[in-house]
Amino acid sequence: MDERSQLLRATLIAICVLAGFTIVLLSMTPISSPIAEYYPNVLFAFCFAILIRDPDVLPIWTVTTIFLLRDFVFFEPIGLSAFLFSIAAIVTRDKRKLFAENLLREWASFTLILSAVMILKSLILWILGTSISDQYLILRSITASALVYPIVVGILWGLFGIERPLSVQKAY
Amino acid sequence: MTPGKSADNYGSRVVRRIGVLFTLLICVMLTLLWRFDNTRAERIRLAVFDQVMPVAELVHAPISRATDLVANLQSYERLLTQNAELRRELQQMKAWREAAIQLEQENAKLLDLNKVKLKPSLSFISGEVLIEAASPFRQSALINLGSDDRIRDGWAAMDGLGLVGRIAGVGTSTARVLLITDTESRIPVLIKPSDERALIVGDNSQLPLVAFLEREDFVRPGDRVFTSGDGGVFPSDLLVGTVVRATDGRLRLRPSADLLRLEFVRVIRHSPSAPITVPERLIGPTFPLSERSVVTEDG
Repeated sequence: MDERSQLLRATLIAICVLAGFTIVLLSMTPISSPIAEYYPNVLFAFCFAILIRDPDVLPIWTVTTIFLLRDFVFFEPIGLSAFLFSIAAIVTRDKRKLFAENLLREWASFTLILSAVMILKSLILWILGTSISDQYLILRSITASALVYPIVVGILWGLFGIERPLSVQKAY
Repeated sequence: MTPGKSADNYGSRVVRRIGVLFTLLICVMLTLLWRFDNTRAERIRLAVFDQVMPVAELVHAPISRATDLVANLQSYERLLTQNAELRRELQQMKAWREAAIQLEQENAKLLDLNKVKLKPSLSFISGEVLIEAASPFRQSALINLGSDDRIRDGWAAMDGLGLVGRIAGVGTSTARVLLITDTESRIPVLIKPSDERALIVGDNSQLPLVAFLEREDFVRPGDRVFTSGDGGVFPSDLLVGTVVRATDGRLRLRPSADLLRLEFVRVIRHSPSAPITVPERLIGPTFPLSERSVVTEDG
């Protein structure tokens, strides 16, 4: 990799990290909106869509850092979401060719991975002996995130022109 | 690919993997710290907040201004209707004011007749809600009052009308309010008019549970719920909300505070009762009776 492409990659990583932090901070804005009550996980939707399309611009440590900040500012168990979503990011990165065969499969994979993370999180909280929330709320959050995912893909396509994962485009 | 480059790639891959493992290990350790040394972990969290908040305010500013602008425009649009509504409400309020004055006078007379000793009125300090951190797992808000304003853990926070939650974590210039809907929240209450005691147990839904009711038949939807002051953390008689029958058939609380649109909160200055550190004092004084064994009101 030459110096110029390294610089470009570093810039893209910095943009992704900044975008992640901005999403975290925006999610905390004290304004009422009917969508916010369903707790869609926009942050993971963005991470998943980027990891499927170009994992080089979102290394795992950036996912960990962004979710660690989210844990801190959302008063959630510190490090737990960061750990689980980092694992989810590793799985997504390694299996991205399988997940990104078509948009429907990508959408289903996102929902499946998010559900697994949420269930694991509840399970770990239960093992740690802390109070866990209503299953209905978790289900509502997963559904809202799944509904938001196509919008996130649309934004990535509209703003950055990334339509399909690069590896898959080459295969066709 | 030359053998040198291949070795370089392998080396960098190994370094990357070690890095990822190391960060994951840090996450696990932080979670364990949060679970087993929560006080220290929350202190770290509030220190992070003190650093993050100036940036968050910068990010929030344009959004808040835009929403204010939209709200103002909508308000201007409905100016005439609002004016008529306000006039009508003012008429009703005048009638209520008269009734309140008469009741206050009557109350003063009765208190005088009974020689009732009143508790000193509670003072409060108002703060602005900086962020609402709501997720399916936690329900909290961050306010712009902290140890600089002499805020203490455990104090009750209210909006204009009802109880919002309690202070759970104080930073230098910020404090966390644990909302009554959070799963960690337990509030002892008194339900009127039946005078039944219960606990309001948060479950992250907007309608927390009314639990540990002794005689559920005595409580009806629409009954008003006040803090009982049991446990000494909250002062008594703060309005919490009204009882409702939820779709699952259980009794739940509809909070009087508008938890979805929190802008300002009042933190009630109230010194909770002294914590009991010596359990035998609950049973009786230790012998031989000495000055140390006498429990005074101020602890």
